Amino acid sequence: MRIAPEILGVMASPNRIPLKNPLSKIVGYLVLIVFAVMFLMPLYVMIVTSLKPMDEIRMGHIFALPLKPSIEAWDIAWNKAASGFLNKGLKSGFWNSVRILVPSLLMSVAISSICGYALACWTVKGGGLLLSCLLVCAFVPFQIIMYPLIKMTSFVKLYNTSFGVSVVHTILAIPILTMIFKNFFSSIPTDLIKASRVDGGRFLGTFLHVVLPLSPNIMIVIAILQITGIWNDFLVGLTFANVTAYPMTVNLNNITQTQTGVRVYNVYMAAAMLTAIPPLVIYFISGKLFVRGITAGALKG
Amino acid sequence: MSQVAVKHVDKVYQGKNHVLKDLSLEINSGEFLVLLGPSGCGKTTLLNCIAGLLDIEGGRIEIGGKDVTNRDPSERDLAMVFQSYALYPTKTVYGNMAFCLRMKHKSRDFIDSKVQETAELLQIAELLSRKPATLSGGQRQRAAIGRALVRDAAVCLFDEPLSNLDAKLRTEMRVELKKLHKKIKSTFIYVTHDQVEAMTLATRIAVMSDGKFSQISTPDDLYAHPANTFVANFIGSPSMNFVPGRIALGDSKILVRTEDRIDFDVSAYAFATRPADRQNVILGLRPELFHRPTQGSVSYSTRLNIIEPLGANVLCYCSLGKTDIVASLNPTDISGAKSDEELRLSVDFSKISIFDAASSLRL
Repeated sequence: MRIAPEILGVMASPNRIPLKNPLSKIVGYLVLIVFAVMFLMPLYVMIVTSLKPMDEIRMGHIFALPLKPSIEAWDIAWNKAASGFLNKGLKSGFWNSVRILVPSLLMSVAISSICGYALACWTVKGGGLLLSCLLVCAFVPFQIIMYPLIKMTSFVKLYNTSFGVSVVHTILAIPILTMIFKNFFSSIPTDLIKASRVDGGRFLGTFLHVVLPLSPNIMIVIAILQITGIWNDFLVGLTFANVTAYPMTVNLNNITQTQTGVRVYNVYMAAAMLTAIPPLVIYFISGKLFVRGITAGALKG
Repeated sequence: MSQVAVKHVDKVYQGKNHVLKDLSLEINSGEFLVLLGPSGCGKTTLLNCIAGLLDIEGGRIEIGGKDVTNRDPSERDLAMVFQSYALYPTKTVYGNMAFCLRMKHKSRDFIDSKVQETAELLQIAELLSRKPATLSGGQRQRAAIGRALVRDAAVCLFDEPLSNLDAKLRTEMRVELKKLHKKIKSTFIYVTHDQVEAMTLATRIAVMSDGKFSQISTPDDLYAHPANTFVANFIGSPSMNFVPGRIALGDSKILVRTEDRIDFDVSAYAFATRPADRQNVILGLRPELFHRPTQGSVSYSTRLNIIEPLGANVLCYCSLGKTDIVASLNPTDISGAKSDEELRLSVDFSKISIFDAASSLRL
């Protein structure tokens, strides 16, 4: 799995050294502005294009502001754009994505956090071997195990269902998430686990009452990773879901990749924006939470 | 009946590191037993084995007459205070203390009254709503002890609980622990490497070295009759002076003669077995056994190297022949003595120790 650069940015140290020299200040800001413009330009083009009627788009001034802005294209993209055989827009894809995302998020976090906790805080026979296996698995590309996975899911009658897609997402995420959780839980003082065991906490009790309350930061990191990863996934959705259960990304692709008729760029742009909004929202909300978590994280006791 | 019984316990790490070697120990109800030893001797390992946090490779552990060798820590009716306090950082002091009772599904009223009662005993009632991060070291220590006491466990385990406190606070907490033990009368097992802590707190001390018990006895007995040179050296500060020598059996006298041909008359010493002539021995002399010679007493010539005045007494570092010794003298005795000059000292032979040089065991 690819770790989104945005998350690494959020994890950067809050103790920055201020720039004192005015020249380096100017250069610094200049570089930042140039890069910001470079990244924001396509977004700007997408937004203005999505607000223009087709006549304006045909004039070819892609940077010009819309003369008669309208949200008609967004309405079409959401409600009635043609995708495959259906004319239901992105709406169904959105809900399919939600139906895929929620179970896979819950399952992958639950399973891998408990695995990581067991490996980090308890003596597990063969735990080292298991960890090495997970490390190897984490670097096996999905494309290689795609066919065996299709056979396996169809054997257990999960192929072509949205729950099947969730199961595949969970399986693919477990190795890397388990390792991340294991590393995080290893930093919890062993005395805390011992204290909990003496206090009567068993395996799950210790996890729920002692370990989990210490872990909101790692949970947010994992949630960002998983939500963006699963939402942006195309290949798993395309191969494991059936036509009615396609996630939003596949839906978007089917809308934009039509071979016949007029290419309605305003609708395409609106559809692309709509697909990108959920991960963006997650970044903005959880990024703030996450930074606060780091600075308020006085875990020593 | 013994409250805790450790019977022939072996602990082996990774199949090769033999940390505890066939240890047996019985601890009576209401005792304050201190496991004392240098770091790495296995004392914390033994405590963790008693707590059930570590599995043992041999032997058995009984608590309250029941075999608990294969029981979970939570089923052993014990409490533990950790060196790092190990307070749950996300819970308040109240939450920390209530946790073990919650895990046992006690009623809310019971938990409330129990926590209040214990908090008042430890004078932390006003801290109950605070998180550990906002507490000082001493307050955390109290909270950690409170968490252990709240459940009325038959046995309380302490793993070097005072080692993270500064010297003054440590002395205060030491006195409080002793008071506390007197008041609640439960069985305490206490691990420390600090012999002063051990001497002041314990009703019995088990001195450990290299995974074995060197001696198990009361503090006074350990101090007066150490079973071997390890215990003799470990207990007491400054530690015991060792003067190597050889037994010389006379008609009516037993002498220890050093390499430098200085004779010590040890006829009054209560030998367990009569020593052999020319047997190599080590004479153990506590610093406070030395005093300035009075009229008619036997005295030895030493060379005074360094004087350390401590107020109540004065430590004199001297050379007795080729052996360096420390003598703890009364300040009035030492007046006029200068370093690098001769200092004559007498020894109180009624309290000496003699060890076999080869086995380092007490004779």
